[in-house]
Amino acid sequence: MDYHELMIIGTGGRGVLLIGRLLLEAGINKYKHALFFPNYAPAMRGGESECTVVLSNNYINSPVMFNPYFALAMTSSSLQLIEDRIKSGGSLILDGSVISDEIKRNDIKTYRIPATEKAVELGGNQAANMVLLGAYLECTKAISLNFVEDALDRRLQEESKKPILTLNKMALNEGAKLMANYKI
Amino acid sequence: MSDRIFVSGNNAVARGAIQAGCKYFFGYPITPQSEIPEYMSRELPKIGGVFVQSESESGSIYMVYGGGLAGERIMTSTSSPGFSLMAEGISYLAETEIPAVIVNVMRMGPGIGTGGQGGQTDYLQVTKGCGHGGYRAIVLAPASCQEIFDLMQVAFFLADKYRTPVLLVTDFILGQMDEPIELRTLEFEPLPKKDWALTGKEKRGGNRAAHIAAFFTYGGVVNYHMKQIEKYKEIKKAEVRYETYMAEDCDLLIVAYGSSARIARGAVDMGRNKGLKLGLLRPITLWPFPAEQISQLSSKVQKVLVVEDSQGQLIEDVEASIKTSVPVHLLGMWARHNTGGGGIIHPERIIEEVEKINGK
Repeated sequence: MDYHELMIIGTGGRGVLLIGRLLLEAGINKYKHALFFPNYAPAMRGGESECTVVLSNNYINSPVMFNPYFALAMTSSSLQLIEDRIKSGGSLILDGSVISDEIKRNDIKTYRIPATEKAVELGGNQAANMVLLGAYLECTKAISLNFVEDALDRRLQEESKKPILTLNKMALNEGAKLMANYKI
Repeated sequence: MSDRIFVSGNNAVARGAIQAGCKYFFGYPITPQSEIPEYMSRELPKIGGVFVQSESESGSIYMVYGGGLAGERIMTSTSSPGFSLMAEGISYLAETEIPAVIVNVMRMGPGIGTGGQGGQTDYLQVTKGCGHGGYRAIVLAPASCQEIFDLMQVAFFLADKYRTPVLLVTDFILGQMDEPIELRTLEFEPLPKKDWALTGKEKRGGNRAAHIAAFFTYGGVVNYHMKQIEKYKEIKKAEVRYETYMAEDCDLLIVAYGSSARIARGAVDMGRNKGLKLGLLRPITLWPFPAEQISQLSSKVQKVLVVEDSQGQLIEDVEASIKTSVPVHLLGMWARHNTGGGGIIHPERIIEEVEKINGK
Protein backbone atom coordinates (compact mmCIF):
# COMPACT_ATOMS: atom_id res chain seq x y z
CA MET A 1 0.00 0.00 0.00
CA ASP A 2 1.38 3.40 -0.86
CA TYR A 3 -1.01 5.43 1.25
CA HIS A 4 -1.45 5.53 5.03
CA GLU A 5 -3.52 7.85 7.14
CA LEU A 6 -3.51 7.80 10.90
CA MET A 7 -5.03 9.85 13.67
CA ILE A 8 -3.35 9.65 17.08
CA ILE A 9 -5.34 10.91 20.02
CA GLY A 10 -4.71 10.99 23.75
CA THR A 11 -3.80 13.19 26.68
CA GLY A 12 -1.26 15.99 26.34
CA GLY A 13 2.15 15.16 27.79
CA ARG A 14 2.14 11.45 26.92
CA GLY A 15 3.85 11.73 23.59
CA VAL A 16 0.91 11.78 21.19
CA LEU A 17 2.57 14.36 18.98
CA LEU A 18 6.03 12.85 19.37
CA ILE A 19 5.12 9.50 17.83
CA GLY A 20 3.29 11.31 15.03
CA ARG A 21 6.37 13.39 14.28
CA LEU A 22 8.62 10.32 14.48
CA LEU A 23 6.42 8.48 12.03
CA LEU A 24 6.78 11.42 9.66
CA GLU A 25 10.57 11.61 9.98
CA ALA A 26 10.88 7.86 9.45
CA GLY A 27 8.22 7.72 6.74
CA ILE A 28 10.07 9.99 4.36
CA ASN A 29 12.60 7.20 3.81
CA LYS A 30 9.92 5.29 1.95
CA TYR A 31 7.26 7.74 0.80
CA LYS A 32 7.50 10.71 -1.54
CA HIS A 33 5.11 12.80 0.51
CA ALA A 34 4.39 13.01 4.21
CA LEU A 35 2.38 15.35 6.35
CA PHE A 36 1.96 15.84 10.09
CA PHE A 37 -0.61 18.15 11.61
CA PRO A 38 -0.79 18.58 15.39
CA ASN A 39 -4.11 19.92 16.63
CA TYR A 40 -3.42 20.40 20.29
CA ALA A 41 -3.09 24.04 21.05
CA PRO A 42 -5.50 24.65 23.91
CA ALA A 43 -4.92 21.15 25.24
CA MET A 44 -1.26 20.67 26.07
CA ARG A 45 -0.50 18.84 29.30
CA GLY A 46 -3.67 17.28 30.47
CA GLY A 47 -6.22 18.14 27.77
CA GLU A 48 -7.06 16.14 24.67
CA SER A 49 -4.24 16.19 22.21
CA GLU A 50 -4.41 14.85 18.67
CA CYS A 51 -2.46 14.73 15.45
CA THR A 52 -2.85 13.36 11.96
CA VAL A 53 -0.12 11.74 9.89
CA VAL A 54 -0.38 10.93 6.18
CA LEU A 55 2.25 9.00 4.23
CA SER A 56 1.78 8.78 0.48
CA ASN A 57 3.53 8.52 -2.84
CA ASN A 58 1.07 11.02 -4.29
CA TYR A 59 0.70 14.67 -3.35
CA ILE A 60 -1.23 14.88 -0.08
CA ASN A 61 -4.29 17.02 -0.45
CA SER A 62 -6.00 17.68 2.85
CA PRO A 63 -3.86 17.91 6.00
CA VAL A 64 -6.92 16.96 8.05
CA MET A 65 -9.59 14.28 7.83
CA PHE A 66 -12.79 13.72 9.78
CA ASN A 67 -12.90 9.98 9.13
CA PRO A 68 -9.44 8.45 9.44
CA TYR A 69 -8.80 4.92 8.23
CA PHE A 70 -6.61 4.16 11.20
CA ALA A 71 -6.76 5.54 14.74
CA LEU A 72 -4.61 5.12 17.78
CA ALA A 73 -6.25 6.03 21.12
CA MET A 74 -4.33 6.47 24.36
CA THR A 75 -7.12 7.30 26.83
CA SER A 76 -10.77 6.51 27.40
CA SER A 77 -11.91 10.11 26.89
CA SER A 78 -10.04 10.38 23.60
CA LEU A 79 -11.47 7.04 22.45
CA GLN A 80 -14.94 8.52 22.82
CA LEU A 81 -13.99 11.36 20.49
CA ILE A 82 -12.66 9.10 17.76
CA GLU A 83 -14.56 5.79 17.86
CA ASP A 84 -17.50 6.88 15.71
CA ARG A 85 -15.27 8.68 13.23
CA ILE A 86 -13.12 5.76 12.03
CA LYS A 87 -13.84 4.72 8.43
CA SER A 88 -15.85 1.54 8.05
CA GLY A 89 -13.38 -1.29 7.46
CA GLY A 90 -10.66 0.67 9.25
CA SER A 91 -8.69 -0.16 12.37
CA LEU A 92 -8.24 1.04 15.92
CA ILE A 93 -5.38 0.39 18.30
CA LEU A 94 -5.96 1.34 21.91
CA ASP A 95 -3.97 1.21 25.12
CA GLY A 96 -5.66 -1.73 26.78
CA SER A 97 -3.92 -1.02 30.09
CA VAL A 98 -5.87 2.17 30.65
CA ILE A 99 -8.94 1.78 28.42
CA SER A 100 -11.54 -0.76 29.43
CA ASP A 101 -14.47 0.69 27.45
CA GLU A 102 -16.46 -1.65 25.29
CA ILE A 103 -16.14 -0.90 21.57
CA LYS A 104 -19.54 -0.51 19.94
CA ARG A 105 -18.32 -0.58 16.36
CA ASN A 106 -18.26 -3.99 14.73
CA ASP A 107 -17.24 -2.75 11.29
CA ILE A 108 -13.69 -1.91 12.36
CA LYS A 109 -10.82 -4.02 13.65
CA THR A 110 -9.88 -3.26 17.25
CA TYR A 111 -6.57 -4.14 18.86
CA ARG A 112 -6.19 -3.76 22.63
CA ILE A 113 -2.47 -3.46 23.28
CA PRO A 114 -1.45 -3.31 26.98
CA ALA A 115 0.93 -0.46 26.22
CA THR A 116 1.28 1.21 29.62
CA GLU A 117 1.72 -2.15 31.39
CA LYS A 118 4.43 -3.19 28.92
CA ALA A 119 6.18 0.19 29.22
CA VAL A 120 6.22 -0.01 33.03
CA GLU A 121 7.63 -3.53 32.78
CA LEU A 122 10.41 -2.17 30.54
CA GLY A 123 11.26 0.64 32.89
CA GLY A 124 8.97 3.64 32.44
CA ASN A 125 5.32 4.29 31.65
CA GLN A 126 6.30 7.25 29.46
CA ALA A 127 7.24 4.78 26.73
CA ALA A 128 3.63 3.60 26.28
CA ASN A 129 3.40 5.74 23.16
CA MET A 130 6.32 3.86 21.60
CA VAL A 131 4.68 0.49 22.35
CA LEU A 132 1.62 1.69 20.45
CA LEU A 133 3.71 3.00 17.55
CA GLY A 134 5.49 -0.38 17.32
CA ALA A 135 2.13 -2.13 17.27
CA TYR A 136 0.86 0.20 14.54
CA LEU A 137 3.88 -0.42 12.34
CA GLU A 138 3.64 -4.19 12.78
CA CYS A 139 -0.05 -4.03 11.88
CA THR A 140 0.26 -1.83 8.78
CA LYS A 141 3.87 -2.45 7.69
CA ALA A 142 3.81 1.21 6.71
CA ILE A 143 7.56 1.49 7.31
CA SER A 144 10.26 -0.65 8.86
CA LEU A 145 11.02 -0.22 12.58
CA ASN A 146 14.64 0.54 11.65
CA PHE A 147 13.67 3.90 10.19
CA VAL A 148 11.99 4.87 13.46
CA GLU A 149 15.06 3.71 15.40
CA ASP A 150 17.23 5.89 13.15
CA ALA A 151 14.95 8.85 13.78
CA LEU A 152 15.24 8.21 17.53
CA ASP A 153 19.03 8.01 17.24
CA ARG A 154 19.09 11.41 15.55
CA ARG A 155 16.91 12.94 18.26
CA LEU A 156 18.62 11.42 21.30
CA GLN A 157 22.34 11.74 20.60
CA GLU A 158 23.61 12.99 23.96
CA GLU A 159 25.24 10.47 26.27
CA SER A 160 22.78 11.42 29.03
CA LYS A 161 19.87 10.43 26.79
CA LYS A 162 21.16 6.87 26.27
CA PRO A 163 18.87 5.22 28.87
CA ILE A 164 15.74 6.85 27.42
CA LEU A 165 16.86 5.94 23.89
CA THR A 166 17.27 2.30 24.89
CA LEU A 167 13.90 2.29 26.66
CA ASN A 168 12.16 3.78 23.61
CA LYS A 169 13.70 1.28 21.21
CA MET A 170 12.78 -1.64 23.45
CA ALA A 171 9.23 -0.33 23.76
CA LEU A 172 8.94 0.04 20.00
CA ASN A 173 10.06 -3.54 19.38
CA GLU A 174 7.96 -4.99 22.19
CA GLY A 175 4.93 -3.18 20.77
CA ALA A 176 5.55 -4.82 17.42
CA LYS A 177 5.82 -8.22 19.13
CA LEU A 178 2.57 -7.71 21.00
CA MET A 179 0.85 -7.00 17.68
CA ALA A 180 2.52 -9.93 15.90
CA ASN A 181 1.21 -12.30 18.58
CA TYR A 182 -2.16 -10.60 18.85
CA LYS A 183 -5.26 -12.76 18.60
CA ILE A 184 -8.56 -11.08 17.85
CA MET B 1 15.54 11.83 -0.60
CA SER B 2 18.04 13.23 1.87
CA ASP B 3 18.01 16.65 0.21
CA ARG B 4 14.66 17.33 1.80
CA ILE B 5 14.10 18.48 5.34
CA PHE B 6 11.02 18.52 7.53
CA VAL B 7 9.77 21.89 8.56
CA SER B 8 6.60 23.44 9.87
CA GLY B 9 4.92 26.17 7.85
CA ASN B 10 6.23 28.76 10.31
CA ASN B 11 9.73 27.43 9.97
CA ALA B 12 9.38 27.55 6.17
CA VAL B 13 8.56 31.27 6.41
CA ALA B 14 11.79 31.96 8.27
CA ARG B 15 13.94 29.71 6.07
CA GLY B 16 12.41 31.14 2.89
CA ALA B 17 13.19 34.67 4.05
CA ILE B 18 16.83 33.84 4.77
CA GLN B 19 17.06 32.07 1.39
CA ALA B 20 15.88 35.33 -0.18
CA GLY B 21 18.68 37.25 1.50
CA CYS B 22 16.70 38.74 4.37
CA LYS B 23 19.05 39.44 7.28
CA TYR B 24 16.92 41.69 9.45
CA PHE B 25 13.88 40.74 11.47
CA PHE B 26 11.96 42.89 13.93
CA GLY B 27 9.01 41.34 15.67
CA TYR B 28 7.07 40.53 18.77
CA PRO B 29 5.93 37.05 19.85
CA ILE B 30 2.30 36.05 19.36
CA THR B 31 0.68 32.64 18.89
CA PRO B 32 0.49 30.89 16.44
CA GLN B 33 3.54 32.41 14.70
CA SER B 34 6.15 32.55 17.48
CA GLU B 35 8.27 29.85 15.81
CA ILE B 36 9.19 32.44 13.16
CA PRO B 37 10.87 34.96 15.52
CA GLU B 38 12.26 32.01 17.51
CA TYR B 39 14.08 30.69 14.43
CA MET B 40 15.19 34.15 13.30
CA SER B 41 16.55 35.04 16.75
CA ARG B 42 18.69 31.92 16.66
CA GLU B 43 19.82 31.95 13.03
CA LEU B 44 20.18 35.61 11.96
CA PRO B 45 23.12 36.45 14.28
CA LYS B 46 24.99 33.48 12.77
CA ILE B 47 24.90 35.07 9.29
CA GLY B 48 25.69 38.61 10.40
CA GLY B 49 22.06 39.64 10.57
CA VAL B 50 20.04 41.37 13.25
CA PHE B 51 17.06 40.21 15.27
CA VAL B 52 15.25 42.61 17.56
CA GLN B 53 12.29 41.76 19.74
CA SER B 54 10.51 45.08 19.87
CA GLU B 55 8.32 46.47 22.64
CA SER B 56 5.19 45.88 20.56
CA GLU B 57 4.04 45.32 17.00
CA SER B 58 3.70 49.08 16.50
CA GLY B 59 7.39 49.26 17.27
CA SER B 60 8.41 46.39 14.99
CA ILE B 61 6.75 47.81 11.91
CA TYR B 62 8.61 51.11 12.25
CA MET B 63 11.89 49.26 12.70
CA VAL B 64 11.01 47.50 9.44
CA TYR B 65 10.31 50.92 7.93
CA GLY B 66 13.75 52.17 8.94
CA GLY B 67 15.55 49.07 7.71
CA GLY B 68 13.66 49.13 4.43
CA LEU B 69 14.59 52.77 3.95
CA ALA B 70 18.22 51.72 4.26
CA GLY B 71 17.63 49.45 1.27
CA GLU B 72 17.91 46.11 3.05
CA ARG B 73 15.72 43.06 2.64
CA ILE B 74 13.70 43.15 5.80
CA MET B 75 10.64 41.55 7.35
CA THR B 76 8.39 41.04 10.32
CA SER B 77 5.78 38.46 11.18
CA THR B 78 2.80 38.50 13.47
CA SER B 79 -0.73 37.20 13.95
CA SER B 80 -4.04 39.00 13.57
CA PRO B 81 -4.17 41.36 16.62
CA GLY B 82 -0.51 42.26 16.09
CA PHE B 83 -1.19 42.82 12.40
CA SER B 84 -3.85 45.39 13.30
CA LEU B 85 -1.27 47.22 15.39
CA MET B 86 1.03 47.29 12.38
CA ALA B 87 -1.60 48.75 10.08
CA GLU B 88 -0.51 52.35 10.54
CA GLY B 89 3.10 51.52 9.74
CA ILE B 90 2.16 49.49 6.67
CA SER B 91 0.24 52.50 5.37
CA TYR B 92 3.43 54.59 5.81
CA LEU B 93 5.47 51.93 3.98
CA ALA B 94 2.96 52.03 1.14
CA GLU B 95 2.94 55.82 0.98
CA THR B 96 6.72 56.07 0.80
CA GLU B 97 7.12 53.01 -1.45
CA ILE B 98 9.44 51.16 0.91
CA PRO B 99 9.79 47.43 0.12
CA ALA B 100 9.14 45.10 3.07
CA VAL B 101 7.60 41.69 3.69
CA ILE B 102 5.01 41.28 6.43
CA VAL B 103 3.74 37.80 7.35
CA ASN B 104 0.37 37.35 9.05
CA VAL B 105 -0.25 33.87 10.50
CA MET B 106 -3.96 34.46 11.01
CA ARG B 107 -5.91 33.45 14.07
CA MET B 108 -9.65 33.63 14.56
CA GLY B 109 -10.74 37.21 15.31
CA PRO B 110 -11.93 39.83 15.89
CA GLY B 111 -10.36 41.33 19.00
CA ILE B 112 -7.93 39.21 20.93
CA GLY B 113 -9.16 36.16 19.00
CA THR B 114 -8.01 32.64 19.67
CA GLY B 115 -4.31 31.88 19.49
CA GLY B 116 -4.68 28.14 19.60
CA GLN B 117 -6.89 27.52 16.62
CA GLY B 118 -7.28 28.22 12.97
CA GLY B 119 -9.25 30.87 11.22
CA GLN B 120 -9.10 32.93 8.05
CA THR B 121 -10.84 36.00 9.38
CA ASP B 122 -8.35 38.61 8.09
CA TYR B 123 -9.16 38.27 4.38
CA LEU B 124 -10.87 41.65 4.11
CA GLN B 125 -8.20 43.31 6.23
CA VAL B 126 -5.25 42.12 4.16
CA THR B 127 -6.83 42.55 0.73
CA LYS B 128 -8.59 45.88 1.12
CA GLY B 129 -5.72 47.85 2.64
CA CYS B 130 -5.49 47.34 6.37
CA GLY B 131 -4.23 50.82 7.15
CA HIS B 132 -5.63 54.20 6.14
CA GLY B 133 -5.39 55.85 2.77
CA GLY B 134 -6.66 53.28 0.28
CA TYR B 135 -3.30 51.83 -0.74
CA ARG B 136 -2.84 48.33 -2.16
CA ALA B 137 -0.32 45.70 -1.11
CA ILE B 138 0.40 42.44 -2.90
CA VAL B 139 -1.04 39.56 -0.84
CA LEU B 140 0.33 36.02 -1.23
CA ALA B 141 -1.56 33.02 0.17
CA PRO B 142 0.43 29.75 0.04
CA ALA B 143 -1.09 26.35 0.84
CA SER B 144 1.86 24.05 1.59
CA CYS B 145 5.21 24.27 3.37
CA GLN B 146 7.11 24.17 0.07
CA GLU B 147 4.95 26.92 -1.35
CA ILE B 148 5.48 29.02 1.78
CA PHE B 149 9.25 28.62 1.37
CA ASP B 150 9.10 29.52 -2.33
CA LEU B 151 6.64 32.39 -2.02
CA MET B 152 8.74 34.04 0.68
CA GLN B 153 11.41 34.43 -2.01
CA VAL B 154 8.79 35.72 -4.45
CA ALA B 155 7.55 38.15 -1.79
CA PHE B 156 10.96 39.79 -1.40
CA PHE B 157 11.39 39.98 -5.17
CA LEU B 158 7.99 41.60 -5.73
CA ALA B 159 8.53 44.02 -2.83
CA ASP B 160 11.77 45.23 -4.44
CA LYS B 161 10.41 45.19 -7.99
CA TYR B 162 7.35 47.33 -7.26
CA ARG B 163 8.65 49.12 -4.17
CA THR B 164 5.69 48.05 -2.12
CA PRO B 165 4.93 46.19 1.09
CA VAL B 166 4.10 42.55 0.33
CA LEU B 167 1.89 40.57 2.71
CA LEU B 168 2.02 36.80 3.04
CA VAL B 169 -0.85 35.17 4.91
CA THR B 170 -1.05 31.70 6.42
CA ASP B 171 -2.96 30.40 9.42
CA PHE B 172 -2.77 27.98 12.36
CA ILE B 173 -3.05 24.86 10.21
CA LEU B 174 -0.38 25.92 7.70
CA GLY B 175 1.86 27.35 10.40
CA GLN B 176 1.84 24.26 12.59
CA MET B 177 1.80 21.40 10.08
CA ASP B 178 5.05 19.69 9.09
CA GLU B 179 5.98 18.68 5.55
CA PRO B 180 9.22 17.90 3.75
CA ILE B 181 10.57 20.77 1.67
CA GLU B 182 13.36 21.16 -0.81
CA LEU B 183 15.65 24.09 0.04
CA ARG B 184 15.82 25.56 -3.45
CA THR B 185 16.78 29.04 -4.57
CA LEU B 186 14.41 30.56 -7.09
CA GLU B 187 15.75 32.59 -10.00
CA PHE B 188 14.36 36.05 -10.68
CA GLU B 189 14.90 38.78 -13.28
CA PRO B 190 17.50 41.40 -12.27
CA LEU B 191 16.24 44.25 -10.09
CA PRO B 192 17.10 47.96 -10.46
CA LYS B 193 19.62 49.38 -8.00
CA LYS B 194 18.04 50.92 -4.91
CA ASP B 195 19.35 54.41 -5.63
CA TRP B 196 16.68 55.84 -3.37
CA ALA B 197 17.98 54.11 -0.25
CA LEU B 198 19.69 55.83 2.66
CA THR B 199 23.05 54.12 2.79
CA GLY B 200 25.27 56.31 4.98
CA LYS B 201 27.68 59.24 4.66
CA GLU B 202 28.35 60.59 1.16
CA LYS B 203 32.07 60.87 1.94
CA ARG B 204 32.12 57.11 2.30
CA GLY B 205 30.22 56.58 -0.90
CA GLY B 206 26.84 56.43 0.76
CA ASN B 207 23.61 58.30 0.17
CA ARG B 208 22.17 60.64 2.77
CA ALA B 209 19.18 61.97 0.92
CA ALA B 210 16.20 59.70 0.55
CA HIS B 211 14.31 59.85 -2.72
CA ILE B 212 11.18 58.37 -1.29
CA ALA B 213 7.69 59.04 -2.41
CA ALA B 214 5.34 61.32 -0.56
CA PHE B 215 2.54 63.60 -1.61
CA PHE B 216 4.95 66.18 -3.04
CA THR B 217 7.35 63.85 -4.88
CA TYR B 218 5.46 63.34 -8.12
CA GLY B 219 4.14 66.88 -8.24
CA GLY B 220 1.20 67.11 -5.87
CA VAL B 221 -1.38 64.85 -4.31
CA VAL B 222 -3.23 63.96 -7.49
CA ASN B 223 -0.07 63.12 -9.41
CA TYR B 224 1.12 61.02 -6.51
CA HIS B 225 -2.06 58.97 -6.56
CA MET B 226 -2.05 58.70 -10.38
CA LYS B 227 1.42 57.23 -10.12
CA GLN B 228 0.21 54.69 -7.54
CA ILE B 229 -2.85 53.83 -9.65
CA GLU B 230 -0.55 53.14 -12.61
CA LYS B 231 1.59 50.88 -10.45
CA TYR B 232 -1.45 48.96 -9.18
CA LYS B 233 -2.64 48.46 -12.78
CA GLU B 234 0.76 47.10 -13.73
CA ILE B 235 0.71 44.69 -10.77
CA LYS B 236 -2.83 43.55 -11.62
CA LYS B 237 -1.75 42.86 -15.19
CA ALA B 238 1.44 40.98 -14.38
CA GLU B 239 1.21 39.34 -11.00
CA VAL B 240 -2.06 37.41 -10.70
CA ARG B 241 -1.31 33.89 -9.49
CA TYR B 242 -3.74 31.02 -9.04
CA GLU B 243 -3.95 27.25 -9.29
CA THR B 244 -6.72 25.06 -10.63
CA TYR B 245 -7.35 21.41 -9.84
CA MET B 246 -9.69 19.23 -11.90
CA ALA B 247 -11.42 22.41 -13.02
CA GLU B 248 -11.52 21.68 -16.78
CA ASP B 249 -14.66 19.55 -16.75
CA CYS B 250 -16.24 20.28 -13.38
CA ASP B 251 -19.93 20.97 -12.71
CA LEU B 252 -19.29 22.59 -9.39
CA LEU B 253 -16.33 24.91 -8.88
CA ILE B 254 -14.95 25.34 -5.39
CA VAL B 255 -13.06 28.56 -4.70
CA ALA B 256 -10.85 28.56 -1.60
CA TYR B 257 -7.42 29.82 -0.50
CA GLY B 258 -4.72 28.78 1.95
CA SER B 259 -5.46 25.86 4.26
CA SER B 260 -9.11 25.76 3.18
CA ALA B 261 -7.99 25.25 -0.42
CA ARG B 262 -5.79 22.35 0.63
CA ILE B 263 -8.72 20.77 2.45
CA ALA B 264 -11.01 21.49 -0.53
CA ARG B 265 -8.54 19.70 -2.81
CA GLY B 266 -9.07 16.64 -0.64
CA ALA B 267 -12.81 17.12 -1.08
CA VAL B 268 -12.43 17.29 -4.88
CA ASP B 269 -10.79 13.84 -4.91
CA MET B 270 -13.38 12.44 -2.50
CA GLY B 271 -16.18 13.87 -4.61
CA ARG B 272 -14.75 12.55 -7.89
CA ASN B 273 -14.59 9.07 -6.32
CA LYS B 274 -18.30 9.39 -5.62
CA GLY B 275 -19.05 10.58 -9.15
CA LEU B 276 -19.39 14.25 -8.21
CA LYS B 277 -17.67 16.43 -10.81
CA LEU B 278 -15.91 18.90 -8.53
CA GLY B 279 -13.09 21.26 -9.39
CA LEU B 280 -11.07 23.82 -7.50
CA LEU B 281 -9.71 27.28 -8.15
CA ARG B 282 -7.24 28.51 -5.55
CA PRO B 283 -6.21 32.16 -5.63
CA ILE B 284 -2.51 32.33 -4.74
CA THR B 285 -2.49 36.11 -4.90
CA LEU B 286 -5.45 37.47 -2.92
CA TRP B 287 -4.53 40.86 -4.33
CA PRO B 288 -4.30 41.08 -7.28
CA PHE B 289 -7.33 38.76 -7.30
CA PRO B 290 -7.77 36.22 -10.16
CA ALA B 291 -11.12 37.78 -11.04
CA GLU B 292 -10.89 37.11 -14.76
CA GLN B 293 -10.03 33.43 -14.29
CA ILE B 294 -12.93 32.96 -11.87
CA SER B 295 -15.24 34.77 -14.25
CA GLN B 296 -14.22 32.49 -17.14
CA LEU B 297 -14.39 29.24 -15.22
CA SER B 298 -17.66 30.09 -13.50
CA SER B 299 -19.35 30.64 -16.85
CA LYS B 300 -18.84 26.94 -17.65
CA VAL B 301 -20.16 25.46 -14.39
CA GLN B 302 -23.58 25.06 -12.81
CA LYS B 303 -22.62 26.03 -9.29
CA VAL B 304 -19.88 27.75 -7.35
CA LEU B 305 -19.05 26.98 -3.72
CA VAL B 306 -16.78 29.24 -1.70
CA VAL B 307 -15.09 27.53 1.26
CA GLU B 308 -13.42 29.72 3.86
CA ASP B 309 -12.80 29.43 7.59
CA SER B 310 -14.49 32.75 8.27
CA GLN B 311 -17.87 34.45 8.16
CA GLY B 312 -17.92 35.06 4.41
CA GLN B 313 -15.18 37.43 3.22
CA LEU B 314 -13.57 35.79 0.18
CA ILE B 315 -17.07 35.31 -1.24
CA GLU B 316 -17.36 39.09 -1.75
CA ASP B 317 -14.50 39.05 -4.27
CA VAL B 318 -15.77 35.84 -5.89
CA GLU B 319 -19.27 37.28 -6.36
CA ALA B 320 -17.83 40.51 -7.72
CA SER B 321 -15.81 38.50 -10.28
CA ILE B 322 -18.72 36.48 -11.65
CA LYS B 323 -20.62 38.05 -14.53
CA THR B 324 -23.29 35.37 -14.96
CA SER B 325 -26.19 34.30 -12.76
CA VAL B 326 -24.50 31.07 -11.64
CA PRO B 327 -25.46 30.47 -8.00
CA VAL B 328 -22.66 31.09 -5.50
CA HIS B 329 -22.88 29.14 -2.22
CA LEU B 330 -20.83 29.65 0.91
CA LEU B 331 -19.45 27.18 3.43
CA GLY B 332 -17.97 29.17 6.27
CA MET B 333 -16.68 28.63 9.80
CA TRP B 334 -20.00 27.19 10.97
CA ALA B 335 -18.96 24.01 9.16
CA ARG B 336 -16.26 23.26 11.76
CA HIS B 337 -16.55 19.85 13.41
CA ASN B 338 -16.76 21.33 16.86
CA THR B 339 -17.64 24.74 18.17
CA GLY B 340 -14.77 24.97 20.64
CA GLY B 341 -11.00 24.93 20.37
CA GLY B 342 -9.54 22.99 17.49
CA GLY B 343 -12.63 23.11 15.30
CA ILE B 344 -11.82 22.34 11.66
CA ILE B 345 -13.73 22.25 8.37
CA HIS B 346 -12.99 18.74 7.10
CA PRO B 347 -13.15 17.58 3.46
CA GLU B 348 -15.98 15.22 4.44
CA ARG B 349 -18.04 18.25 5.51
CA ILE B 350 -17.46 19.93 2.14
CA ILE B 351 -18.82 16.84 0.37
CA GLU B 352 -21.85 16.89 2.67
CA GLU B 353 -22.47 20.50 1.64
CA VAL B 354 -22.08 19.69 -2.07
CA GLU B 355 -24.65 16.92 -1.72
CA LYS B 356 -26.97 19.29 0.10
CA ILE B 357 -26.60 21.91 -2.64
CA ASN B 358 -27.18 19.31 -5.36
CA GLY B 359 -30.29 18.10 -3.60
CA LYS B 360 -31.87 21.52 -3.81
